[in-house]
Amino acid sequence: MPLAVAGMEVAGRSLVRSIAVYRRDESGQRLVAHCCGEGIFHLGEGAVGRAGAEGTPTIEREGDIATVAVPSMQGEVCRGVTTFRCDTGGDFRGACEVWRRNERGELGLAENLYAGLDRLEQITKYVKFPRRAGLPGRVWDDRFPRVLGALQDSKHFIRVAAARTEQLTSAVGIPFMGRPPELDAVLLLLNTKQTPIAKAMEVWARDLTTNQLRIVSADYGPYTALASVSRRLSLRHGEGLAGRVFRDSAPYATHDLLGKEFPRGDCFAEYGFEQGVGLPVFIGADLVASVNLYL
Amino acid sequence: MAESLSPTDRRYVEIYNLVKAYPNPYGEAVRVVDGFNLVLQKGEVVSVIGHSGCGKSTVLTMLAGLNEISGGNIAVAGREIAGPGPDRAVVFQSPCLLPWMTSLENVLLGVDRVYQHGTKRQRREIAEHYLAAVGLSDSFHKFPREMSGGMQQRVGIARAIALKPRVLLLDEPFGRLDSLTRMDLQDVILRILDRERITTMIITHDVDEAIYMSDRVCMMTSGPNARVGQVLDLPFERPRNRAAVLEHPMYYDLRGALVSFLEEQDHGGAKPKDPDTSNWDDTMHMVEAMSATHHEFPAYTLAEPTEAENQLIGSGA
Repeated sequence: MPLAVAGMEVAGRSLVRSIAVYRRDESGQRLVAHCCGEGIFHLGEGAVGRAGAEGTPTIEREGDIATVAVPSMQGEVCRGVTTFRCDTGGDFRGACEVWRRNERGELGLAENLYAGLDRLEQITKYVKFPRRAGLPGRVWDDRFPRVLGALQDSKHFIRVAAARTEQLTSAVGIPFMGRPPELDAVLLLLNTKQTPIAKAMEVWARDLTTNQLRIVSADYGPYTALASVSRRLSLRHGEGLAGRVFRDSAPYATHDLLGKEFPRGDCFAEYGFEQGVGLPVFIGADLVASVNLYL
Repeated sequence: MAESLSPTDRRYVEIYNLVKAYPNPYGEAVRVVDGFNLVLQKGEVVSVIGHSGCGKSTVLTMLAGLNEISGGNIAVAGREIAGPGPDRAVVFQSPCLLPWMTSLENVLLGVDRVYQHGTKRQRREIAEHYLAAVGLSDSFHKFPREMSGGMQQRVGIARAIALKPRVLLLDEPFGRLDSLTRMDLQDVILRILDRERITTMIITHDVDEAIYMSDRVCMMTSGPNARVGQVLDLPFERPRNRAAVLEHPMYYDLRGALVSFLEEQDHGGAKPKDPDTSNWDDTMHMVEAMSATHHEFPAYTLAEPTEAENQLIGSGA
């Protein structure tokens, strides 16, 4: 049994080779490939099934390939699992970190994937974040995902020396809840300039006054035109990647950004973005945000 | 043995969401320390570093019970503290010895109060034992004016440890000493801590001192609204050996992490935001809005993939 089945191939220089999205079927016991990926996994089976059964992100390795399986848990119910198959060999650079609470109630590194980031890997083993400290601690305190750009200058990214040495550019932190209000884990995806996990990252949430979806936290790196077109964008349920995540309460992936991301599709195409994946973030039963990654 | 400790023992000192606010001239509360969280395990030595004025000593004095807490709470051995007590001894930068008393009498002052059940002879033996432990066997009867700053600080350390505190609080204890005396006293304290296993918090500006003396280093952000920025676990064995610490392969990486953290705090962190920046963060507004407003989410139904979406299944496999 492979760790996970290759899904939507990612073109260009990215740490991620492919993305696959699995959603729960009607039986509630199986995860079925949705808009990309292949196969069916029973809960507990393979990286996909284990992430769905345990409700927490997992990282598994097979040689130079690592699979990061990210479950979307609505309370106790797994609504889907998204997998990122990452290449950790050669000159690929980037990191995924899973931070969990230790016996002191601080966040310590529980699982990790480091590709070509030796200094960050070495120092992070010794780092702990109490609540509100650093990006993981802030995500924990907010119980809400957050994108941090310009890591080498950000006062909110505490491992700034390593960020400079390793040329980290941006990061997203995603909370995973155990039994509310307790946090189970924070997943951090760390981009490098050379081989980013995602070229652009956004957090979408419902604007409570208009009931439309808006971006609350984002980084577009050098793609500044995307920033200006995105800043004032709002979406209804079912519109765009975020709207589909909110419509379905489940992860969603596409390689049709031109068609799905009106009015930004042209801009995505112009910059050579081909894929997008939206990860729902639940706090208990409530869908509070969609983390969108564009590759 | 760590395995035999109860969860309460493992979380011996718990500082939760600690806040200290002082009124400014306009009567507004300025939060000097805002949401400080830290746990010390039993017998652990934790250094707190940060820039001058960030609130390090404020945290220590609140833990000592000498400074009122504005918010949050502190528990020692599972009991919330309510004011100062002999279970927490403090060594300040200046030893503040009573000048008309000898070193032995200065130490006995606290010992007589804490060991009231002991005989006079027993109390004297305790005071002499701890003065000897800090290297003052031949200075029992010296007055402060007859002693150097380093010797006076040794008396201050002996005075604190002789009380057999559960928690030892050291507030920049070597700040006024020359570097040789400082290193000597660091070793004196480490020897005592190795023997007595007292849970200890050290406030210091000195990165090397923090690394050499502690099991963990807690880095505080600059104030106002100072809090823990990060905690660094140190991999060095006890008893500490200065040469072994300096030669440890991770020493300079760990030191670099501490120094760069302090530099970042000194520079004020993020550069002014460019209005054309390609990244932004309004998360706090959203979190505040969500906290303030309870929103009913509609019941979701799982949508089937559209035909176009189905076409993607297996693509690139």
